[in-house]
Amino acid sequence: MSSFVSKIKICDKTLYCKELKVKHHKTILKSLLGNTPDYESAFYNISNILTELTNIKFEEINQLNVIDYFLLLFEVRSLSIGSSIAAETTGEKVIKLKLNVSKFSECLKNINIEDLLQPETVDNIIIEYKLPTIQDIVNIDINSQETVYKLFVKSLIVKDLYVDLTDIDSNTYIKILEYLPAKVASCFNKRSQNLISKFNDINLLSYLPGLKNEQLVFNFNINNLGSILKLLFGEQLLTLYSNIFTLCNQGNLTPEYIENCTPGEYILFVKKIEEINQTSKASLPLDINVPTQNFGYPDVPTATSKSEFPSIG
Amino acid sequence: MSNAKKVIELLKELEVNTSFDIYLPSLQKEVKFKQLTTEQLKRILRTALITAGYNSEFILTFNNIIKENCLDKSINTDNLTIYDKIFIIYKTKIVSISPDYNFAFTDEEINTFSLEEANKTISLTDIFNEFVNSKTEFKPETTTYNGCTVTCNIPSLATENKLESELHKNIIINLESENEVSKVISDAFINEVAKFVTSVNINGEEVNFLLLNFTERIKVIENLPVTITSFILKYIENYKKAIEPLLSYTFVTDKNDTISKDITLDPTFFNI
Repeated sequence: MSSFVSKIKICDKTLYCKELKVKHHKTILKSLLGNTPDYESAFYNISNILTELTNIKFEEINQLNVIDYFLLLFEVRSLSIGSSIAAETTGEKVIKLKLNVSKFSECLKNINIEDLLQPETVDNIIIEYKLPTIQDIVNIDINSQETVYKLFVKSLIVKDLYVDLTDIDSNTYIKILEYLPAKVASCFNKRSQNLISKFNDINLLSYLPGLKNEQLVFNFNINNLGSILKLLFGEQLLTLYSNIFTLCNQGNLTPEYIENCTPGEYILFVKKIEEINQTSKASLPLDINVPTQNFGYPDVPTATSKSEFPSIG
Repeated sequence: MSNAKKVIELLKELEVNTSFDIYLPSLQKEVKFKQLTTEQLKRILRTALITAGYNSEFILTFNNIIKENCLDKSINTDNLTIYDKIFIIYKTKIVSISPDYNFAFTDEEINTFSLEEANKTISLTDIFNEFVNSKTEFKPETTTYNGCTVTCNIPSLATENKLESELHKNIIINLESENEVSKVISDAFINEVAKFVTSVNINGEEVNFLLLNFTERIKVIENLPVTITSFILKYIENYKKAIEPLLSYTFVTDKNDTISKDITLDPTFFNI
């Protein structure tokens, strides 16, 4: 069981991050089970795990904007499992791909957030903008203009008086909105549209020039963000259970020990059992899957297929 | 007091500080108005969702907003005219939201005129300023025929409110029924005529239309001689013709064709 801590840089801060453990991975897999997982719970569980792995409090994790949240997830993924993801397209012609998580990070880091969130002044009211948190995206009601504004409007400064709109109760929020000049609402609207449209153009696979028809959209749609989660951490839960059983049965390891291993250690043990079984020509057949994950069009989260880890059949 | 509550107070102050002047033709002077608030804008846009044959919800809502936003409390906004209202709508949109107005071309227009863009945005400022500078005015007009004297004038907001509340509100029109459509057209015609008449004098007996409800007004109008009805219609037509520059815009295409599009003063005018 490793207590290795790595230094990572997210949102101009240096953080210390531990590696993911098998038990964490199991929780993530359970949260992502099925074709229509409850992403609110999935992100809640993931935020809890990120709190355990880093020196960031749960509340702070939840306050990270969607880009920083995913940059942190990309780092955790690379640190614990590796930055390479084998995947295949889901179209008629299946293309096998080797994706690189660090390229996803690069793509998000290349977004000119400062420019997109440039404050503006209307009738002596300064409007500051923000990117939404995962919670904001989970709670959005697309039929309510107010909640759409809540995704992007951070604060107002009226005659040197600063109001953090993310930190007030909803009645006061609605009251402030009501008294605002309509021109300000018009600015909110334009900026929200602009941010939504800019993010709809973010394709994490754009670094692969030959891949014209496949996209991995990073936008404010919870299902699309869920698809990215599945791609990062997808594995069949049953394979994980089956491997844990075999490691206990043949490797004499306790389930607690295995669950507290890092994915790297876990893979090593699985491979070791495989070697032993091959040497002793054990009756249990071995089947090491090529790590492969499917991805498809952004709105349709596809179930992960094969294990990122070898499976002991 | 929390910053949030202080901000609400400041925003109330700001409403007055960011006020603007609108020239009102009936008063022949500029009057100060507050900008639209987000809540008022929401009320306006919401009227688009209320399905009714007439634009009653929008008319009543906007007339109320005029009352709320007029900063000169010596003015009874009920006495302002529907002509003043056009000025208020235009200037409020320009100042409170944006001078930009977007036209969407139909597929037919795009194909017929080989247009490259499906939308075009124009600025309303020049159109409005040019019209204001033209100082177009409307005076009451009177005609007499066979002992019957009728006076026409531009309806006040009070008259418009009365018509909408008494006759139009809560009427849902079934546009699929041909009979109903023709009834709506004839009702709209007679209502419009009744709106522009301020008094009728028959053989020395004065009937003040402003004191009648619309059902009573319509009864009188229906019995007027055709010559007088024609006079009223001419008055209405002249008014509509005069305000035409504010209600339509003509595009000249690359091939020198012209496309005339309506500028509709309804909730969509305030789209953000």
